[in-house]
This record gives sequence, C-alpha cells and structure tokens, in this order.
Amino acid sequence: MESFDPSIVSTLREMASGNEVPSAMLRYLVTILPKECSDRTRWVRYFAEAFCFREGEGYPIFGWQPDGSGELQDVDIDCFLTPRISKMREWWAGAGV
Amino acid sequence: MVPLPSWVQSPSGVIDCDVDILTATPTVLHLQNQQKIRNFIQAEMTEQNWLKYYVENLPKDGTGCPGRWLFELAWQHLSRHGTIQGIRGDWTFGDNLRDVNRLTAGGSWQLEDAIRRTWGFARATSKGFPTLQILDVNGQPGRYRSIDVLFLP
Repeated sequence: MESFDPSIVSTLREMASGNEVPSAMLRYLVTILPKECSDRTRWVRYFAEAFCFREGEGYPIFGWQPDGSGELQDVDIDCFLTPRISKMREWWAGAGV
Repeated sequence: MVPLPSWVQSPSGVIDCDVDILTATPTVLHLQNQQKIRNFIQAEMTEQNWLKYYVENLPKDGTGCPGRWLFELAWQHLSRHGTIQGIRGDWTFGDNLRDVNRLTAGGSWQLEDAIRRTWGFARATSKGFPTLQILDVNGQPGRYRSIDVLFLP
C-alpha cells in the first residue's frame, strides 16, 4: 500500500474547496514534498488520493513542470484538471482523510 | 524500494538501463530507471479494468530503458492480477498527440487513421486491442488539445 500524508491530502481538498487552481495545488506539493527523481509520479498519486481519481485522471500532471519547462503550462493544467476534480467532488468533499 | 523480481531483466543491447520498482501493487506499477531521471513508467489498472499508463524516456538520445520494454513489464505485472479489458489513452501532451496533430494538419488524415499511426496504437494492437473508441476530443485537426481514446479487442 502506498502511504500518503493525511495533512497534505486534507490541504489539497481544502484548496479545491476554496477554488484554488490545480497549478497552485501542484506548487504546494512542490514545496511540501521532499524532492525526488519521481516527483511527478508522486504528485499524480497525491491528486488521485485527494480527489478519488480511479481512472488516471491526473495524468496530465506528467506534462507539467514547476519551472514552466513542461509541455503543459499552468493554464493548460488548470484547464484539464479543474473539471476532473469538480466531477469527483461528491466523492472527495465529504471523504475526510 | 522493492527487490527486483526475476521477470525484470534489463534488455540486452541498451545503455544505461537500471530499473527499480518504486511501486508494485495489484493495480499500480511504477518503474524508474536509476541511470536516467526522465525514464520511467507509471501504469495502473483502472476501476473499469482498463490499462492506463504514461511512459517517458527523455532525452531521446538512444540511452535508457526503451518505452516498449517498460510497457511490456507493466503489461506482465498488471495482467497477472486481473484481466485487462482495454487500454486507455488520455493524450493531453506528448508524442501520440503530437503525431496525431502532425498527420491531421491540412486535412490529409482523418483522426481515426492518424491515431492508428501512433506509438500508443502499436502497443495496443500488440496486446490484441486494435479497435478504437474515441471517448472525447478537444480541438481541431492539426490542433487537437486532447484526445481521450480507448483501445478495445
């Protein structure tokens, strides 16, 4: 089983509830998680845990880099992920951690 | 880190391919090449028993673990734990989307035909999933922003 820090999962949900954009959530993960070679995979897994993604909805994150060097920029990642997070709201909004 | 099982043997004739299993559960496999930071695969079995994956080997300099080999490992691992019913391609960036846009620019190729020319389609057909079902498309020929496609038997 993968382990997730419940306070990070909770913060991601609070940010989504407060209408913060996914790129801001990713930057929060960049600051809070220790840097590893597999950063993007960890971000994808955290989004899946926080927002109850079960169909790989977070995969656009693989195209994003915090320094803007990825194929997807903040505006792209916000465009792709915002509706996916909203679609799952009924699952994660009351899920606790 | 999980010890390497016998089925993970580096392919012959490749440079700088030293894979580690970072996650291996019945529904998720994450392999990372320790010799090349942007060389990994993340694969999972979705709730609908579709295989979904992202594989990367960058830069394209002839080194690292081949994507085709990483895909094969993911297939072997996940199919041991369940029956894969389809392969989902959620293309929002990367080679598959880029190839579709290149082929459809100028109206020379239909979307379905262009998808059949992608690396992702080749992987799907290699596992017996040659049938296309386009779930969602955003954009226009030559400028698709995203393509959500399912490969079925």
